[in-house]
Amino acid sequence: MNLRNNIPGPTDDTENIPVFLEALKKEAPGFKVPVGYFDTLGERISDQVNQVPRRSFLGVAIPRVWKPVVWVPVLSTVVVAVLLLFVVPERKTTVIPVADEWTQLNMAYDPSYATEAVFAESHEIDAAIEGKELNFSEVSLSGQNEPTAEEISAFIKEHEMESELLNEY
Amino acid sequence: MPEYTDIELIEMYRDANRSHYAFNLLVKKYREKIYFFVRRMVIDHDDADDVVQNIFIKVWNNLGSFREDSKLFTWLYRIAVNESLSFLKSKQLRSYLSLTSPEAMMIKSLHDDNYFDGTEIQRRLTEAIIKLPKKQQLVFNMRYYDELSYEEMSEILTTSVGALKASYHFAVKKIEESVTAN
Repeated sequence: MNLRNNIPGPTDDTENIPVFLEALKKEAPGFKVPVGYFDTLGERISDQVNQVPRRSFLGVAIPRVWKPVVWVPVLSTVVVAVLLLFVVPERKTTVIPVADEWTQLNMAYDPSYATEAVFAESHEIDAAIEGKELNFSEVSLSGQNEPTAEEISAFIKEHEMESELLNEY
Repeated sequence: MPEYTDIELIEMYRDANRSHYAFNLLVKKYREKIYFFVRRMVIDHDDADDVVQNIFIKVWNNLGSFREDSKLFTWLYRIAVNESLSFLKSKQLRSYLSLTSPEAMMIKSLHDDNYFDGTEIQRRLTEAIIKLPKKQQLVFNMRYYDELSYEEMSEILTTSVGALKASYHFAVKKIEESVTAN
């Protein structure tokens, strides 16, 4: 029975073997064996097999696992792990306090923080807080008194500005 | 004696009471194919006999762990390839000590072999095969003598089909040159 497969493709020309090779294939092979060799081969193999007990699953698996290609990387990994464990200094742990969610919310909406921020803007305000009762007519954020309505009207007349500007102001 | 399929033989082998019987059937089924494959690689009959026995002992020891994702025949061939190459490697180491190339030793063994009765052209062909690199030798023997498909060879040798085709092509060219040169 010819088991050759005809594999299609551009490399099919590799199958063009010389004529003498094709012719030789049809001849009997040059190799021969002693008379009755194959009849006794099975018995001889069976004798050897009977001397060696069939290996269990572990018997098959352990020699495979015990090959250097398996145990060398495993051993080196273990050695490196042990060295890292003993040689590398232990890290000091620092605890960062974390405010819980409710505390953070309360901090965000506490109106006293806003008041403090405004008061901290100028020394004059601080002094006012410390020295006497607060009088907002005397205090302004720019450090100067606000102009009165009369002063603004006089300023507009003086500079002949349009009346719309007054309304805008 | 009934002819069992490979799957039936493996199932029978897994039954502890019938494992020896199954193994004997398996040896009977594949002994000639395996023997001649090994013989073409190692040339000498006695060497081939040793290698074949080692192959079947390995089969006995490992058949329990055989996974049926490949064919039994392919698996057997792979063991045969590995054992043959191991044997040739050890022979090569011995040849360093005797200061003779392993190829020269094998050609001498072919001439002295009482179990080779090929014609002159067959002897020349065998010598040309011996001179090939081991991979090409394997590919040529599998394709030319055993008529394996490239897919089967690819599974056995874990090499791509393209690479096998190229190996076979070069092997044929070298053999042609070697045989016609003589």
